[in-house]
Amino acid sequence: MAGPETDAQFHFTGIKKYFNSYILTGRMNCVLATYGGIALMILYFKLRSKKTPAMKATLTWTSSVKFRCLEKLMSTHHAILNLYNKL
Amino acid sequence: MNENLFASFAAPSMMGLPIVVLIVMFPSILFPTPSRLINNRLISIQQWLIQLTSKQMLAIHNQKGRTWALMLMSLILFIGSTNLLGLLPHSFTPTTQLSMNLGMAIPLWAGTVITGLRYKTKASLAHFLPQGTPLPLIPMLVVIETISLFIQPMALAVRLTANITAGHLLIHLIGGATLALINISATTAFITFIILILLTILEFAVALIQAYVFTLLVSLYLHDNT
Repeated sequence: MAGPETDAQFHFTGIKKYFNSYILTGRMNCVLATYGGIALMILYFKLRSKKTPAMKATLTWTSSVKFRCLEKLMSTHHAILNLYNKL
Repeated sequence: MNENLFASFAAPSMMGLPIVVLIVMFPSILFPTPSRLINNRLISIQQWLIQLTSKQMLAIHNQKGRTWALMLMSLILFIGSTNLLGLLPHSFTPTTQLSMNLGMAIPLWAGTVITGLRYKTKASLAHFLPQGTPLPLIPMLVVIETISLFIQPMALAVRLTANITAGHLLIHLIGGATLALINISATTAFITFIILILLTILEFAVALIQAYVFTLLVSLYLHDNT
């Protein structure tokens, strides 16, 4: 029956030398990479914009000068209509 | 009946003042301090028991782990004595309170984890990934091992709370049933009384076993990190 495996019996090359599930350093690096990946995902979802492209286009339009002029025109029109109805 | 069932788990007070601190400190005065080289029978038996327990529990530990000997022995003595005193009628058992058990479990568990991260950082971090895990399973296993690490103190506390509380509740219920059955059927009441006796013997065992299990698990967490 084989005894506990020691790090010395494993010889990896390339990226497997640093990221594997056999030697202590490899396991530690895999764990840290997993935690780093999770942290990056959380950061990405927190920092990304919550507005959709349609909403962005609407907000851009609603904050524009043209929209403001149209809004003022409509409110004036409604005021005139109300006055006419009262008369 | 419903109100009485849980009344024994309420924080005790005397003349409006909380006495839970006195109850928690009480078991310590039951263990006399050895003051001579050769003591009387009671202290000798106490010393022999502590030596037996500490030898058995600390056998697996290295030099670093054995520095926790006093902590572990105090823990097992405190939980064991508190659980046994709680079997006295109308007494309050501090270890039925989850807050108390979390207060014991979380600092001890955190101490072992911080000790491991401080003195054996690589090994402690590598512990989250079992050796020989296939590549596609690595992220999932790391997450699962992390979750199982953080569940350890919760499990420690809830195990002790649930076992002691359940035992006390059962004794309450079966005792109440025995009393209620006396007027109805003496034979059934007698059988229920026998069950109550057996349950009380079981609760004595559970009181000591739960103290041992709590301390043993803390000792195992320490062993993993030293």
